[in-house]
Amino acid sequence: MPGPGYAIILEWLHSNGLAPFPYQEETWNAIVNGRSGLVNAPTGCGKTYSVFLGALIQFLNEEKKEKNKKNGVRLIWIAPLRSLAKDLARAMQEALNELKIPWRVGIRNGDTTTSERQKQQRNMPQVLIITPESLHLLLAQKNYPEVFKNLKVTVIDEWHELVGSKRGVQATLALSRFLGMHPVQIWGISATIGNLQEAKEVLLHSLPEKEKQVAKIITTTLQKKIEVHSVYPDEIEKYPWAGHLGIKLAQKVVDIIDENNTTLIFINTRGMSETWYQVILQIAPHLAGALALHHGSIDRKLREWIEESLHTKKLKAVVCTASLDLGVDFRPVDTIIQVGSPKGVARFLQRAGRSGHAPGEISKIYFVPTHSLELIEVAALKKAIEINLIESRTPRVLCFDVLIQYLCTLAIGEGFLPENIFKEIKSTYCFESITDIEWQQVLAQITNGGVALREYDEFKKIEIDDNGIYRIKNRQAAMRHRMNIGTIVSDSMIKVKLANGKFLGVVEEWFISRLSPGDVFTFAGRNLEFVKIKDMAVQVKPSSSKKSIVPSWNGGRMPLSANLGLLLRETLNKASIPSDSETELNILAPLLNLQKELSHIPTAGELLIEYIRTKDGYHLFVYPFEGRLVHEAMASLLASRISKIKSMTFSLAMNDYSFELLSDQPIPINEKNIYGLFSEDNLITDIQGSVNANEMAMRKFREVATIGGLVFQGFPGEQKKARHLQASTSLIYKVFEEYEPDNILIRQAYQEVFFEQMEEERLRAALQRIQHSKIIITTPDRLTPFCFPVKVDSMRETISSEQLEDRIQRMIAQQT
Amino acid sequence: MNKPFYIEICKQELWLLPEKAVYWPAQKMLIISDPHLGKAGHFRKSGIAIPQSVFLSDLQKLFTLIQNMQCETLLVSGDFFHSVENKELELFTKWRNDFPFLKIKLIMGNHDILPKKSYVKASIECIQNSYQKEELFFIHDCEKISKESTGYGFCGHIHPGVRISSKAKQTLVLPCFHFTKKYCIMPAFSAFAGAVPVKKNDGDRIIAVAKNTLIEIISKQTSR
Repeated sequence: MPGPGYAIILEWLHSNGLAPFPYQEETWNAIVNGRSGLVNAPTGCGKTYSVFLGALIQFLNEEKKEKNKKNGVRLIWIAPLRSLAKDLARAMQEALNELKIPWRVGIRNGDTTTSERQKQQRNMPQVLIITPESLHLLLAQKNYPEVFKNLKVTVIDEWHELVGSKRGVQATLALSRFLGMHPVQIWGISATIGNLQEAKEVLLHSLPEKEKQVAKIITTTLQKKIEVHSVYPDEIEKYPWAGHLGIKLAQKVVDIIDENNTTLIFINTRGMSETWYQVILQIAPHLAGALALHHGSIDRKLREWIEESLHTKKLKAVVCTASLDLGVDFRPVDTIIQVGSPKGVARFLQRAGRSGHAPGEISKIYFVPTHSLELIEVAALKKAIEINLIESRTPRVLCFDVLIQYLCTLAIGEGFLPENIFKEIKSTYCFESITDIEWQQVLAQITNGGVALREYDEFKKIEIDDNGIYRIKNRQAAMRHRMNIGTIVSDSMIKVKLANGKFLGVVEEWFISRLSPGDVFTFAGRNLEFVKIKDMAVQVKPSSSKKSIVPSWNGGRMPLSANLGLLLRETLNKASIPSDSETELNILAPLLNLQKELSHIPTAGELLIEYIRTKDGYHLFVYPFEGRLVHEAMASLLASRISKIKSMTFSLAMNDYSFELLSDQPIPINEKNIYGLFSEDNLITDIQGSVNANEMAMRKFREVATIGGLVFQGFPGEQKKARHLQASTSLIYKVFEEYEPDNILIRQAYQEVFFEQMEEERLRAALQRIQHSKIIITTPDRLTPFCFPVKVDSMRETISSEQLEDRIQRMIAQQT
Repeated sequence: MNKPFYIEICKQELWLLPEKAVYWPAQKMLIISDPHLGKAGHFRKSGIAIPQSVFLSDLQKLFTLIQNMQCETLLVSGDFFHSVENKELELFTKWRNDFPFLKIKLIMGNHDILPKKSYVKASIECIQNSYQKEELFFIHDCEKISKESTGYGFCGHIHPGVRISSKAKQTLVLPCFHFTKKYCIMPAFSAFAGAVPVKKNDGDRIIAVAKNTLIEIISKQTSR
């Protein structure tokens, strides 16, 4: 490698007893040569050093070294998680100090104090660790081109986490702006995902063609070893067929905790994590003080304390949710317990990887099923790991909400010229296919607010000055926009406080709205009595009541991934053919035999349908194993098609394995018409006529409208909102739906419902698969083991083609 | 015109209208609550692009009713205007002046904060607290009904709705007229106002607004 930098870095590493991995050296080389690229390495293999040291070598190679002057940022490190930033900064600053490079490392995110911000304002650090949201906030400042004038390299860490999200779109928009000012090298760091090549293209899309062609994915051969164990009951017959009843295995979980050093217990929902925390403490009092509960609603300070205690081995185990999926690595953690389905191979691997962190160590993960059928999932997951079948993250396209937000961001800073910015945004993957008409609609949305009576309208957001520059001049509008920057739309949250003012965390407002004073609920690991709502906070007091309500937080339910679904079907295939190879299937044998006796076990080339009559009515259970979202769409499709044969109303239920149609009348299906009911023809029309697509779009619209600036979010529990400017998103949705249905954001909400929520592509693939499968209809005389989970534990929805008035009359008639 | 829902209160015949209004034939009076005129404009002025047609449609609905019912008085039970002055109000005033013989009485609501001259310009009689006619009285917020008041009250402020739930977790919230023993809470006239589910006590009557129809919601009696 040319230049003096390489030797300096190598010497420093050696003095610390380290030597570079080949992939790190390859990355350094590429950076020194001015290239961009994507590093694909698992955590704990020095991925940070691969890019960071590369940037240092590049600096050391420069002939005239800059002194520590006010020369702006050189290296931007976009990290999606705030908790990641501190550790990163510490490690980077240490390296810089030891190397005597006069750079400072700064952190900029929602936790950065105002005084720190002001300090940065006066003298920007050379290395800035930042979230995508805070980066956009910098672009909202007047002097940002000056701040970024010496920017050489921009890194996006954990790119696999961002590439499929609107935050990823936000990040790439910022990149397009940098590249619009002057050349910048772009580097991504990503764990392995199914579509790594595509992830690279999305990241580097705005680079000039020449540079894109030479940009490479640099992969390491270092592999993490993973041990998967399943925890199962001693007698499967006594184990519940359904429900969140893994709790019965709590003793076994305690045994695992006792046997290992430090354990993280991943629970899928915040509600269940509260329950598990309580149960473990009840049966293992010796863990008191050494067991903690960590989830997204718990006070940040407490979470930070837990994280710190994990580092210092003060804790034996932590019950957590996805809140600990990412972020800093805790060296002492040697064991992971996953309770319930991880819903995807990538997530399972990622969680496994949170243990045995140092290079060369083994990751150990235990799977605790919450119902019997989940044991099949363990077998499927083991297979997936063996053949390295990891999910893809589909990049977002045409997110007009994010675009509108970005344009307003630029408008409150330096302002923008539409011709120039249009070229830049069109260079991104997300907006590559934006049409001129769509662009004009986006501009219209922010300049004249869509359709209006000119004479009586005072819409005011972006104004165009004499030079044709688009700006937001109104200070209040600018202020409101700054507070709204971001693409993570949370439910409206309210603070939970004790009478003495001690802050415990935040909880969804809708959950609290259902409580009456005196009700007891479990939160942050303790039972609390709801006293009152005061100053926009819930006041509570500790309660010794045994009975309590566990908040069921929204959004905790991830659908099963397509990959895992495929493997599940293949695993079941084995179950129908007796063999001794899969432990999990052997354990399940009594259950599977009962299923076989009552009904049938489908092979990979079959689709099982069970038609059962109970006192509730006529049930149709269908088992595509495609995940809840696809099932939701498929169930609505089937219901609407059947109701064309015979007019009827269904109640629908679905989970990740199957879905159910329930009706009070016999359901007219048979071997002859069944293939037609699963046909791919007229898919969109039939769905639009069936699902309450409207209601689904309304849910989506909340996010789109908030990002797109139609709803003012404010801060959690924030009291001061602009006077007379409050309206719920559902109300705004209804108004748009009725008075401006072709609005670009309403259309986007529908698009998102079809392509993301209902996963149209996956739905089509599933229907095609079914057309080529053998459909087997059985008529068991009682409920089967397979149908039980969907019957008791599922999301239920109803579709109806009846008129509103009829529907109300009928609903009144059956009111409960 | 859509079919009214006839109701008798204190020996007075009243027509509930699906347009979220009440007509009192004996007085030739149209009664509405919470029209929040100018709300869309208020949002738009702050850069939130609510379609202005929601305002236009409310305005049209109001004047069509006035014309069709041939009413002499419009009584607004509070929150006539949403906030400070804006151009949408100019349009309202222009329309209003096409009905010079129409009396408009406004019981001041918490949103009615316009300067006096605006009301004068639109010939609106502002009434503080409450207004009594025959055995009926009208007030903005039912919480402020004084203990001495007699007769039956009509109020607004709450934007009441009824949540209908049935089997299979179906729910629906519709704007409604909520008749309690002592007063009726009227639905918000504005299409940009929404509906908040109310708590129903025994003996209350709920009449829901389902698009162009009014439907009385009679829930099964709960056993005690």
